Parts: sequence; C-alpha cells; structure tokens
Amino acid sequence: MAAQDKAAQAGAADIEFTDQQQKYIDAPLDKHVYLRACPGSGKTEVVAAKVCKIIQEWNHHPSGIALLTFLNSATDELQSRVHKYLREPMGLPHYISTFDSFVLTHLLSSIASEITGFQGRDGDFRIRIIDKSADIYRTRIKICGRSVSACRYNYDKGSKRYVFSTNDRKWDNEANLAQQDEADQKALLTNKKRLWAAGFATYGDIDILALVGMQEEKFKDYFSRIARRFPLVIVDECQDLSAEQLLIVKRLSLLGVKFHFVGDLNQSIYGFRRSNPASVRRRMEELGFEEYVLNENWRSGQAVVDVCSNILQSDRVVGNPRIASVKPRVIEYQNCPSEVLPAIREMSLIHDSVVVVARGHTTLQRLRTGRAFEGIELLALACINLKAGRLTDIAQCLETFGKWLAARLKLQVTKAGPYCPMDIESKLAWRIFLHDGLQFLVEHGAGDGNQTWSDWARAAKITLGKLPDQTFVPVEVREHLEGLRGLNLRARSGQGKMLISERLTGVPDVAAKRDCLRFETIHGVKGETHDVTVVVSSQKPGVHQSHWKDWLRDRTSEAARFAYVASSRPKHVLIWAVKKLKAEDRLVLEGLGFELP
Amino acid sequence: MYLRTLDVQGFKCFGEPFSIELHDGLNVLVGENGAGKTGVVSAIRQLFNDSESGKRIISERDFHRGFGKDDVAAEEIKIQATFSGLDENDVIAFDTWCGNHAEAKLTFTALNQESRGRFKHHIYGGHEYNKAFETEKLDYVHCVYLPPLRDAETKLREGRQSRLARLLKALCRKDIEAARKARALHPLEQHVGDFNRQLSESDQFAIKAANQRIGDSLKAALGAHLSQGTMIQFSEVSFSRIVEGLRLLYFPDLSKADAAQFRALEENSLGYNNLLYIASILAELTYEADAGQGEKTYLRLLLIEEPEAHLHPQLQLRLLRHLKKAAEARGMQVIITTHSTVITAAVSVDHVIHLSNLNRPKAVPLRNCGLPTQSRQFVDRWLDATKSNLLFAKGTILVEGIAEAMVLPALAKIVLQPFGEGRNSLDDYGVSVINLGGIYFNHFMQLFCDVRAEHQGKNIPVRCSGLTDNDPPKSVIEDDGEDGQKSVPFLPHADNCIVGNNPALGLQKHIGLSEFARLFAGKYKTFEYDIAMEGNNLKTMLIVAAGLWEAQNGTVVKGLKADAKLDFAAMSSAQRAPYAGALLDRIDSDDIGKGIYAQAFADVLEANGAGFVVPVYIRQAILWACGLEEGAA
Repeated sequence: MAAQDKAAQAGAADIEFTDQQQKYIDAPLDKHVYLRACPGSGKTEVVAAKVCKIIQEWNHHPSGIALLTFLNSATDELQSRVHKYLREPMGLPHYISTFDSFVLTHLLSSIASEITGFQGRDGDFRIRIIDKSADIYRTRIKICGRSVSACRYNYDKGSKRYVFSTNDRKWDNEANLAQQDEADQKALLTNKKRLWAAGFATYGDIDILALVGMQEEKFKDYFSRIARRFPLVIVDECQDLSAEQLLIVKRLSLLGVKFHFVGDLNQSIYGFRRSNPASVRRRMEELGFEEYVLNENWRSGQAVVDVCSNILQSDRVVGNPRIASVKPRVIEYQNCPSEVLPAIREMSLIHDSVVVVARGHTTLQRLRTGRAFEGIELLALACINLKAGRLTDIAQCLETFGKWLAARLKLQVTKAGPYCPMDIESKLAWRIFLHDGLQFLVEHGAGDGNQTWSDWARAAKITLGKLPDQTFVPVEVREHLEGLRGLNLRARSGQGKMLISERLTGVPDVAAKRDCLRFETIHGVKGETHDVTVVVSSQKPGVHQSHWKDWLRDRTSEAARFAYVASSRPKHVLIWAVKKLKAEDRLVLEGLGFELP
Repeated sequence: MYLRTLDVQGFKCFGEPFSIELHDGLNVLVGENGAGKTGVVSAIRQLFNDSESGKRIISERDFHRGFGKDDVAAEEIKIQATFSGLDENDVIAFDTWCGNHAEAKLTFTALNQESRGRFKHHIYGGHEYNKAFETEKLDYVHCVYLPPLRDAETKLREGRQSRLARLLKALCRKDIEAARKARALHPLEQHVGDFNRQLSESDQFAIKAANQRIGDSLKAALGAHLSQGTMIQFSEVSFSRIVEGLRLLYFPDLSKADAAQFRALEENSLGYNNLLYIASILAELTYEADAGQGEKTYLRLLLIEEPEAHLHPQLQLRLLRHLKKAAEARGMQVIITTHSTVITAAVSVDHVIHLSNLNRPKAVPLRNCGLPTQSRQFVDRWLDATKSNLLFAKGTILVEGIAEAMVLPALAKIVLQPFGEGRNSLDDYGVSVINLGGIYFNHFMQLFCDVRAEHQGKNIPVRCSGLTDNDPPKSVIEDDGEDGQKSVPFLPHADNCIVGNNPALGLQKHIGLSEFARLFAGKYKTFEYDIAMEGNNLKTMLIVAAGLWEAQNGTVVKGLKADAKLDFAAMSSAQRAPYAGALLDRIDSDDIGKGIYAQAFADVLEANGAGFVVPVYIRQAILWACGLEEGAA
C-alpha cells in the first residue's frame, strides 16, 4: 500500500491521508461511529493516527480511551504503530488490550467473587481462564450418554439452550439436536456455577458473568464509574463481536460510553465463536452508529479487487491503480491438491511472499504431505524433529509431545504451557520436563527414522514405561505419568513394515524453506498482505465449507466470507486451486472474473 | 482523597497486627522513642515511590523479630493502606484500587525469602488480589519524604537532579513541552546559547584564546585524526543542564540588597538552610496543586520526620503553621513525627496521634479520646509547651498548682528511696509532673480515661495520677456558748473530717474504674495542711516558715521556732490540727506566699528528707504514676 510504504520511514507528520481517511481521523468522539474498511484500505494506519490524535488532544484525565482488538497479535501491532506516532508507548489513562482481557480486567475482576462466590486460593482471587481442552467439573447428569465438562458448553440466548462444543464433533451434533428440558438446563447451570465458584471460567463465561453483574442493582455505581473511566471505546475488527459481547456494548452505551467500531462485516469468519455479522449490523442500527467508509483498496490490483467484490456481490471497490492488474487464475488438480505445488513453487522464484491458504488444518496437512498426522505419528514426528536438532523446531516438538501426552494420558491441561497440567504451577518446569522426556526417548532410539514402525513402536513403548522413574521428572509430574507404564503402543495398521522416514520426511523444513512457500489457514492470514495467494479448494463440496461451490452457494454465508478474506490478501496474483472442473463450473468461475486453463 | 488507615504486620517493631488511623490534612505523631513513629513512616514509604529520597528496599532487618529467647523473624510483611474521601475524579483514577467499594486499598507484602540479595515482594490494588498491578498508577500519588537528619546544604546544592532544577523544571513544564513540540529552543536555552557563543567568539574574554590553546595542544598530542573537539562554555544548551547549574543564594533579611550581595548557602545558618530546603519542597508540591500542572497527581503525601530539627521554638512554630495551612489549602496530607513540645502545643489535639509501645505498639488519635467539645477547646488552648510533656512521658502526675509541682519531685524521692539507686526519682521512671494551673482534671484526664460514664473514648495507654485537695469549707457555724452562733475556722483532723467542696472529688469513683488513670484526693484540707498533719512533719515545715518570715527577730518567728521544738509525732491528730492551721495562715500571708514557701520547702526536703512522712494519697499518686505496687521494693 502506497501510504504504508511511506509510513515505514516517517512519523505521522509525513503521512498523507486521503480524504476518506482524513474524514475518519477527524470524526467526532461523542457519537457512535462505524468505520467500514474494505481490505487493503490502510485501516490499521488510520486507526493508529486517529488514536494518536485523540491522545494528544485528550484533556479528560483520569478518564481515558480503550482500544480493543480480538487477538494479542493485533494488540501488539496497534501498540507499536501508536508508539511510533506518539514517540512514547500508550500509557495510563489509555488502555489497549483484547476485548476479552478488557471485560475480564475492567468489568469483571473486582466483582467476580461476589457474583460467583469464589473464596480465593490463599488470598489470590484471580480467575483462571480455561478452554475446552480441560475436562474438569463434569455434570452429574448424563447428556447423550456422557457427563460433560463445564468448560465444554455455553448458553445461547438465541436458541435458548445450552450448546455443546467438545472435541468430538459427532457427539456435539447429537447432543445439540437432542431435547433439553428444564431439569437438564438446571443441572447444566448448577455445574457451571460449581466451576465458577472454584475460580475457573471460560472466555465465554466471562462475558456472561459480566452481563450478570451489569444487571444487578448493587453494581450500578460500579459500572457507572467504569463508564466514566472509559468514555470512548474503539473496537477493531468489530465483525468478530459475539452476541454476548454486543450486549455488553449495548449496556455500556446506555451508561454513556461511546463506541467506534472499525472493521468489515464482510470479513466476519469467527462463526465458530458465535459472532454473526447480521447481529453486529442490527446492534449498530439500534444504537445509531454513524457510518464512515474506507473503500479504496491500496493493496491489490483492480482485477483481484473485482473478483472479491463478485464473490460477495457487494459494492464496487477501487483498487490501487499503481499495481498492475493481473487477472486471477484457476489451477486444476486431478486427485490431490499437492499436485499444484510444483507450479506454485515456480512462482515463488519470481515473487517474495507466496502463501498457500486452505480452509482447515486437514487440507493444509494434505498439501504438505498428502495426509494428516495422527496419534503415534505425532510422537514419532516430535522425536525425529528433536533429533534433527534445529533450534527453531524445538518449541513445535515440545508442543507436539505435550499434546500427545495430554491426549494419551487424559490429563487436565491448559493450552498454554504447552498443554501443561493445571495443577503444575511452573510452566517452565513443565517445558523442561517435556524436553528432557523427549531427549530421553531420542537417546533410546526413538529419533531414528531408519526403522520400521513396528520396531519403533516396540522400543518407544519400553522407553516410555521407564519414563516415570527417571530423576529428571519433577515430583508433581510423576503421578501424572503412571499411565505410561502399561501403555500399549502399536504401529498403524498396514504400516508395521514401513520405514518411518518414508512417512515423515517432506515435513516442511522451516529453516531451509523460509523464503519459499507458507501454508496457512484462512484465520491465520487475516489482515496480511501477500504477493501471491493460492486459495486451495477441497475435493468435494459440503464438507466443512472448504470447496469453492460452498463459497459461492450463498453470498451471505460465512463460507462466502472465508473465500473473500482469503482472496483479498494478494497484491499481485490470486490463484484458486480446484479439482478438475466440469464445463458448467468453468463458466461460473469465468463469470467471477477468473482466467481458466 | 487521603490516607485513612494503615495496617502493618511483621514489619519492624510491629509484630502483632497494628493499625493507625490518620485524617486529611496535618497529622502529628508523638510518643517517646521506640514507640513506632518512624516505623509508621517507613511503612508508608514502602508503598510509594518517594521522589525525594528514592525507593525503599526491603532488607532483612525489616522483618519483625521479638526479643523473647525463642522468637524468630516474621515470615511475612504485610502493609495495607486504605484511602478515603475520594471524589469523582479520584474514583476514576484509582478505579482498580476501589473495585466495587467507595474506599481504595493498596497492599504490599514481602516474604522472608531472600533470592539474589532481594526479598520476594508483591503489590496489588483493590480489596482483594484479583488482577495484575498497573505500576503506572503509583505515579498518581506524589509522595515526598524528608528524613530527620537532613543535609539541606547538599540537597540544595547545584548538580544533577538538584532541588532547584526539579522546581524549575516543574514550573516550566508546559513551556518546555511546547518548545519541544515546535522543535524550537526554550527562551532560556536560547539565551544561554547566545551567551555561550558570545563567550567563545569574543576577543574580550580570554575564553576564545584558551579554547584555541587547548585545541592546538590536543591536536599536537593526538593528531588531527584522533583528536577531539573541545569548547569552553557556560553550560550545555539544554534546559536540564542549565538549571542544574543554578545555585541558590541567600541574604539574611528582606531588606533591599543588590543581587551581588547575596551569599552562598554554606555561609547560612543550619536552621535557615533547613527552612529553605523545606520551602523549596513545598513550593514544588503546592505549585502542582495550584496550577494543575505536570504529572497528574491525585494524592500528595508529605512525610517529615522531626521538622523541628535545627530550628528554635519560634521558627518551629512558624514552620508548623505553614505546613498546616498548606495541608488544608491544597489538598496535601502531611504526616510528621515529632519530639517537640512546641509543635504539639501549636496544633489542636484533633491533629495529634499518640504512639506507645508497652507490650505492643498502639496508636491513639487524641480526637478519639472522647473529649466533649468544651474539653477539647480547653485542652487546645491550655496545652502549652510545658503541658505537652504529658504526651511524651511514661507516666504523668497532674497537679493543681505551682506549689505541688515544685514539692512533688522531692516527696517522690522520699517515697521511692527504698527502690535503690537509679530507681528512686521520678526522672528514673520517665514520669513528668504537669501543673494544670487549676482544677482542670476533668478536661485533661479524659485523654487517659473516661472521666464520666457519658464520655466514652479511647485512652492513651500511659499511667496518669491526678492529685487534688479535699477542700472542705473554710469555716463552720458553732454555738458560741451564749445562745448565739459564730463562725469558726474549720480545722479537720483524723476524727473530724468531712468531704470537701472540690468538684473534682465527684470524678474519683469513675476514674478509679479505668485502666490507666486514678484521682487521689487529700483526706483533710489542702496540700500543705495534709502534709503538716502527718508524723513529725510540722517540725520541718515550721522551721522553713520561720526562715522565710520577713521580720526575723519578731514574735512570729520566735513563736514558730518554739512550736518547732514540740514533739508532733506523739500528739494526736486533733492536737496537731491547730498548729497546721496556724502554719497555713502564715504560708498564705503576704510575707511568704505559697510559691516561695514551696520552693524553700522543696530545697529542704532535697537536702534531707529522712524521717519525713508522706501522706498516703500523695504516696499512692507517686507509686501509681511510676507503675509500682505498694510494698514492691
């Protein structure tokens, strides 16, 4: 983006903003505002400039503004941009963090124990956030034959029932369709309350608890005070707000807080976290948001921009006239998407950042190696990579080993750590153990790729059985490892006589291929700019919305938005990699603006 | 907003949980040495970043350790501050310290576990620990600490971060900001820059030539490649460096003196330098408050230990009045510790907090002693520098007049004699005799006990004896033996005494129920009379009177000397009464007077008090104040 390049060298004074951008920077602070920013419009730069202006002219100390995002990486990005402009970091009374962090720290923390009855742990009243990988506080009743952990369901106001989200999709579907009577709901709620009273909560729970607090009379003054503390809240990527978060926004606005929403409803792809762009639009209309528009795309050539507009059948957007407009292409594969890789690799000789984007991890894994890794393969992968000795891979090895241990031994873990059991205080101690443990396995031959799966499994099983007795195992960890003693480790069926190296080589060597291809999910590339983006469609439609037909079936669906977000990343070249097309399909894609083989 | 309560445990002398209640404005902490005054100030400093004396680091000695044989150091230090009186802005600024409450809390804990020379410590805001601490919030509190032994001269001296530099930077903050934004030089920088140029370019001063010489010499030594450029100038052209080079000069009074006549501070008096130092601190603090300038500050805390250091009483008074005014006018909370009776006399008891350390430290704000308004006003007016002694003593004896005040120490020597050398005077027990100048026990004793049932309050945990007279009517009506009545002087004795008219007598019973106070009243009549009625005391007392009578050769003296030869010890109480009455008349007469008599009497007792019998009520008062039991010797 032209403006962005300039910004790389200079401070705010040297940036020239377009009329559209300047209009927002000058927008009033005493009204709700929605800045609709199409991809590549320089949104981050504009928001940083606006925030900088607000801070420099601010005279309502000790009140301040809150700048909220949805990802820690986004927070870091904005923080460093603002720092660059202001020449000092954003400090009190202003506040920048994720939306979740804001709700937890500023809305809920001080009153949490009053709402949940949590008695604190030794005077420590901090709430521990856990996600569905934990399995604590299970219901006393059975839902579809199982007792469910309180971390794996949330109440949905829309459908007025509890929605389950465990790691078993099949069971989830069954349970979410099954009948849920009053007794069930009461039991589910009671179980949740037990979780909260013990000082735990999921992020979804935090929103709900905050809403509970906002409805109680006794906290009225407390929330009024918060409204005075943050009279202006800017929310970046507002399309990702969940229903509960929108309700929190409404309640705060009733107390006088003004909101600036910044984002693009067309880029809402967090449906799995229950954010719905239609609800966001409804809420903005209800609260009277004034719309400002940034619809000049500085990132991409016009042809790419037009294809994106066609995917959603949305308004025309102006592309960057200084970027050569190259018509987006379609590349076909016969059986497996990995067939297109050689052609893509050639492109990477000309262009710098070439990214391959796919809807899900499975497709991505297929691209890399033809099939995803599971179970015992993960353990072998971790060992082999550790033996290979590349420092950059160690973190990944530890995470893989941790994940395997957690699954195999059914440990209660927090995702951070990685996969650190909840009762172990020091994450550092856990990581050291993971490393020592893997090292132990490698020393006993588990890192050698030149053996068959059967041989490897036999050796690994014996070594793992000895693991709990090793001196490097910390006392708190020891008891968790008991399950390794009688462990049964077997090669996957039909693979027993295969060499490990056959299966596991071809794993991307990060160091060597750093300047070649990147493989990412759509969520992973949000906000990025690439030179070339290859969007990979799965072989069959209807499974997890990873086929291009799913994307085009309903222009208002999330599937369409997936395609939109992925396709709006490239500066120069957009490629869709699809399974061999039928004649009528070719027409559809041509109509969208693609050049076909 | 102000610091209302401080709770300390495990820190320095505070083994058991200790709590002290402060109030907005001026707080004066008094108490004898070792009571915990400095401990309180140190605890407050531990919470905040002190802009004058720097951050306080926890050391091993800060963990409380009792003096018992098996006592070990405390495992944890906990210091918690509660802030009250927050207005709208304060509540927003300290939102996380308040949570859902009206008051803000800040807690500091430290564990007695040393790691790399430092002790693990933790600080959090709010009524419970429920989120990470925003250290920037501490900048909203401006805390300044002045230690007791101040080197004002060094502090006022020029140099990095000198007082002057800080004050000037604070005063010019907005201008400096504006200049920086416009990327221009501040007028002061401009001026000095020009002056520098003048100095180095003009041929009039030797500076240009000196520069040349130095430069040439360096080049010759190092060669053009390695040589550095040098320049002699007044100062670097930066606001900070310029003001750091400024020096404060003084002139002894406010008369019009030429700038050249002002002198360096090294020549100034120690006391005045101290005043200048404190004045410069106040200037910075009050400027901040007035102009709403500089860093946003919501609480100003000024901690001064012994402000009276280096100052004579009149200056102490002036300083204190100024501190009080500054505290009230500009929303500053001032906490001082003092040993000066001048200072305590100058403030209302409402501002005074008494600290003691009998078996554990205790803080008693005098405003909580249950003084009814009238008593408080009385005490405020009458608590002068001498009476203020009662705030620092280990025990007090309150008396009605100068006579008792002078004689009592001598009588005490007689009473305490059995306890041996080093324990036989009031001084040895830290007991002060306070002359109330009247029968004002009901006002002053309220500090030590609940004088009446309806005046409930806290008590200063220090023993207090009140000493008062029985004061029966001076005369009674008798039959004159002729069917008439006449008025006869009433001389009480062991078989004939009535309860007197002294209003204080009615307080005795209730005071006697308290833990620390007792009111002792004479049995018979007045101080001198009651003493005269015991044993052979009249002998000594008559001789003293004789020595003081004007007409040394007259009949009065002769009579006194003759009476002195009598054996009073053998007489009955009724027989002594008339002699005692006569003695009283002599003492009260114009020739002698109570004051003169008391002085002479005290001298005689000091010289030789053997055999002198001290009346029971006086004896009890002395033993009570000294914390001794009857027969304990």
